Amino acid sequence: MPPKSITLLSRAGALLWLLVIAGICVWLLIRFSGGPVLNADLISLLPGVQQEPAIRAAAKEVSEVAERKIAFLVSASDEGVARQAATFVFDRLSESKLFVRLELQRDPAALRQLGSLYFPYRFQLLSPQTRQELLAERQEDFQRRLMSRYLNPLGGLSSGLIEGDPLLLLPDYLASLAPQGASKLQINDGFLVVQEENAAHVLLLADLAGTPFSIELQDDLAPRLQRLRREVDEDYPGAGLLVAGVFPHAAAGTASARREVSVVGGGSLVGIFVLFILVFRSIRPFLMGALAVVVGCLGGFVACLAVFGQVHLMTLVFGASLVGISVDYSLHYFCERMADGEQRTSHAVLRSVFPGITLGLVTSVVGFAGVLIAPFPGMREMAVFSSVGLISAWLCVVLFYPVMAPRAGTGDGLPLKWAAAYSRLWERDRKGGALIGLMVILAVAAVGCLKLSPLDDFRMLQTHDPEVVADEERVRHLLGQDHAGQFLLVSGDDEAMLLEREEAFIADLQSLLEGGELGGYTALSQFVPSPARQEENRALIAPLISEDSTTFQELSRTVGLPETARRAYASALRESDGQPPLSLHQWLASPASAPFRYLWLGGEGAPMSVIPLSGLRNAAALREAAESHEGVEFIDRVQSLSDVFNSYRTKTLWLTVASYLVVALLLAVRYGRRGALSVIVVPMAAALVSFGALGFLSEPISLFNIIALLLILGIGVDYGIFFREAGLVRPATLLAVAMSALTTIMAFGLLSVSATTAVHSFGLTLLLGISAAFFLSPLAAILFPSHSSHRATGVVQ
Amino acid sequence: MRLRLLILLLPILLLVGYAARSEETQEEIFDSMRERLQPASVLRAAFRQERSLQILLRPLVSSGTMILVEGEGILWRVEDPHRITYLIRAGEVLEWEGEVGPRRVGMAAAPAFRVMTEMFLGTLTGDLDTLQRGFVAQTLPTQEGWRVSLTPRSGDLAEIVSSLEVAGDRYVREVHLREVRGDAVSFTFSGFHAEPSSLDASEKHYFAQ
Repeated sequence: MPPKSITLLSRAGALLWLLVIAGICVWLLIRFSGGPVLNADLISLLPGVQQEPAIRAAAKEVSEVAERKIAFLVSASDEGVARQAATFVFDRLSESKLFVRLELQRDPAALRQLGSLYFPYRFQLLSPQTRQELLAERQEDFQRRLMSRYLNPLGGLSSGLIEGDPLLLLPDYLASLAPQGASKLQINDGFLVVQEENAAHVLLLADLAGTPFSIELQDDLAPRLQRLRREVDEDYPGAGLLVAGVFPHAAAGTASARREVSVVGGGSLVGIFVLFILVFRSIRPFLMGALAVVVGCLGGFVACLAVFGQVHLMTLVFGASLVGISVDYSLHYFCERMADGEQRTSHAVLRSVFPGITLGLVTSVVGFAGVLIAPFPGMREMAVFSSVGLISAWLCVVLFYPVMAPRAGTGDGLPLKWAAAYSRLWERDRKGGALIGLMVILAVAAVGCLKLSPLDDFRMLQTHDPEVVADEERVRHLLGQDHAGQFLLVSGDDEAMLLEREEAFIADLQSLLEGGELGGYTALSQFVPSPARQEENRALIAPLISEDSTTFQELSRTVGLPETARRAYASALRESDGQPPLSLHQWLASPASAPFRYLWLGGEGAPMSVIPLSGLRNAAALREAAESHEGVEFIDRVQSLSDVFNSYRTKTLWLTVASYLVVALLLAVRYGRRGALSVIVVPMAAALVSFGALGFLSEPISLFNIIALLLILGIGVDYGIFFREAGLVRPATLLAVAMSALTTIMAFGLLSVSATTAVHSFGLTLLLGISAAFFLSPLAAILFPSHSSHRATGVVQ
Repeated sequence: MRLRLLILLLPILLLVGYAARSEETQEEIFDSMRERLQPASVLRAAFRQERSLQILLRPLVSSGTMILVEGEGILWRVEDPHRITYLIRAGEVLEWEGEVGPRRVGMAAAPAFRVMTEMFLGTLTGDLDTLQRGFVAQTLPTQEGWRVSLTPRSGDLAEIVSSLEVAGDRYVREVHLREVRGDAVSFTFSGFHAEPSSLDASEKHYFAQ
């Protein structure tokens, strides 16, 4: 029997821990009612890109606006049916109140409003082509194009137009504002329609009222969309609905993350249950183990919530695998107890496993603490979740088990016998063979490691839902647009400066456009040229209108334009002399600018604008062009996120190496140099084997494989420690390590089937690494055996 | 100004539409045209275009040849007063000045442009389904062949076109278009050839763009 004081002390400790858990539960309940607890925004997992605060804020704003956009395409072979179905979808979506803007029909007056906004400024708004021709004094080219407009069989001419604008500058300018390249989008009675493949596709544009990553919004909208799809299918013959945007990806990501949390968490628990029942033949150990697991998960969750305000779904997916690790401490207790034949008290059993599991905990937490240093929100969250989770599970075992004195159940001894049989393979005199085997394995693994290739694509965090991807590709194909989230931010001291900077930069884009390295762009200065540019344009036009203008002579000769028309035009130009230039504010105030107002980011004192790019094939050249212009910033989200992944992949690798060294030093304090080496060789070899196998499987290496290395360290070192503590390969230790490895492998095996590349990589690396660590862990006991083995009793029943 | 004209014309258009609205006779009119028009995979003809704009001293006249290719579009080659070639097909118009080109013209997204392209293609290729959807037809007396007056039903078309008159026999020979804005354009076609029924290399070059 232990002394009374110890019993009292441990009772007090258990009670205190129980109170803490109760307190945590109460706090959690209060927190649940106080707003969203879960977060699904992948971007929030990543560190911010190094940028000026104003630029970062503007880039964020632009991205957030883009994220909220959803495009719906309602298709049917008959355009009438497509329009009806689209109107039905529009009505249903309007009811939902989840959108701030829904556009099905474009206001037919918009084009006319644009015409009447620009008409008074027709002398100073020139298409880029006209401007170029006049600047290069190629008047004859300008005249030829003018003639072809007059002779076009499709017309587009009217007496009114010719009277006000005989040089047809305004139609020429308006045509240049249409998106570059052949847009397949038509406006039929206000509906935006694409005709393709014998079907009409009606476009409906929507802006969400909130972020697409809000789980509440997803839970509201996703089922509605599913219902809408079904209703369109059923009620409109031959009609179909396509949805594209960030939202479907986000919703699919949340759905799969949820599925994975329950599969991984639930699957692991079931696996643990089966294993415990098989080995211990009693339900009590399982219940006690489950208690540690549940308290562990609770602790990790609450810690994240307290530290970060919200818990990311991805953390939960990774965190669910913690279930398989946190059960280890319980396992050691019960295996020791069973091997012992229940002769000792629970205090005594705990005392004998305490150094092992405590050192195991410390090394794991050290591993995670390394991650905490990195300014990578997602990784920090996972580190906090795992560290606090493990500490909580350990506290349960250390504080509750002595008091509750759970028995292991007698079992039938069979698993222990198997363990004993296997442990005989690892007797000390077989050291030489083991060493050779290790060398061979390491050599093969090293060959595999040579085949590794890196992966830094941000999209590995996205779920690849085939249906979502297929919809998106179809919409992209039908609309003929490929925006990859690349854009430019332009800033200036005032509006005039901003527009001038845009114009100067756009001039540099021409070579990229001509070389096909850039598909197109949309810029504010196309719609409203800078005051200086407008003044310049007027000066270019003036000579064309003079009395001896060859252009008007040609118009008179070929077309029959009377001299009076020229004179009226010339006097209109003179009259507009004192008129202030077309301003940004006039354009912004016109209803015609609605579809493009997003280009203007405003800003008091230092206005900013955005230039979205499409079909960019040479980002490096564009970046270079942007760098040579003041006030122009190239923002490439996918690339900058990939850069982040790349840089963190390297940083984390060094961090991992450092963690291995720190752990080795810790081990050296207890086991000496050689002992530390024989323990650390377990995770190191396991890491090498895991990466070698990944190389042979042609799996690319991303940041997430490296994070997995940290966990292999944390777990693999535990296995080594358990054997080192035992001093030789004891069956009880072997059984405990085998069971803990099995439960862990189960959890990560389940992760490796994830639909998300990142989670899959993480799970697979751990699956391979932990398997290797388990098979190699007896090395820790026999590689450099300690002379005074602690208890070399080698209990066999 | 355009709007005012439209408002003035609207009641008249509505009345015309009402008077002629009788689906059965519509079917009959279009069917009888369908029967007479002779389909050809490639049809060549000479054209003369006369655009009357009130502001100009004289009608704007141009002439040349055209090639209609079934399912592809129209190659419109102006010879006089300038050599300009237009390729007109659904959704786009390409243009060559002499040998220089092609250049995309017009705004495919602009309703007016699209409507005109559709109507032009529909009329010249005898795509009666398109016309039947957009117009109400009325037969006009004629000595030989057929002659119909078409009034736009509604939507974008009615904002631009006030009336369309088409006449022909086996082929469409005349098209007279009156715009809501008061201007008018006439096309007359002659010298039809349905042979050769394929394009030569230089012609193919245009369609391959």
